[in-house]
Amino acid sequence: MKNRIRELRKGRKITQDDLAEAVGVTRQTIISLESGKYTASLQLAFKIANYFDATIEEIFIYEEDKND
Amino acid sequence: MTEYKKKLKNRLYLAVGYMLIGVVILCGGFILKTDNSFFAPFGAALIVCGAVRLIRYFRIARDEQTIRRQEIKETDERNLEIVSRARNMAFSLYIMLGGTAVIALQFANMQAESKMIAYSVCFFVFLYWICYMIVKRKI
Repeated sequence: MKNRIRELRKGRKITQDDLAEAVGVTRQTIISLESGKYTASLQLAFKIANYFDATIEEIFIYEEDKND
Repeated sequence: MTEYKKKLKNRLYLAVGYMLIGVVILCGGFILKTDNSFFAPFGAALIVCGAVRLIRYFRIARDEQTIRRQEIKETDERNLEIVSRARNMAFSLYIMLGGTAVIALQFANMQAESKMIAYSVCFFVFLYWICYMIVKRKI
């Protein structure tokens, strides 16, 4: 699962700390999300989408597993 | 009052409870003139444990910002995922290492120790099965 969090965050000049505080997670979680190491839960995905005033599909890009 | 603040309050009561039980055990040991090699250290440990929790509570509850920061730290979903995965890994390792130890101890002719570990592994697997049934009903 890829995401555009870093791109949207930098576009709006928001720090990782600000985003983390707004969606109720630690900065480390935002770092992991941006680097693709961690995939957000549905609840967190909604919170992030609401924060950026976008839809989940605009932020998170689902890539089908090659094994599927 | 938010859910987290209620949780914090409960932790405060728990800390005071630990200290009170510790004092009762400590004093009880002295009053009843029993062997204090158990009661005194046990009571003192409970008092220290309660005191540490109390200090921790006051450090967190001093202002709204610290409470919010601590709440985020404790409810952070990535952190909860790490805790859950680490617990899974520890459980699997325990079963594997336990199984290996049971066989190794049999070869070393340490029947009693081998049996103890085998019982412990079986108990854990049984406990897992019960927990699986409980969680299955919930979700």
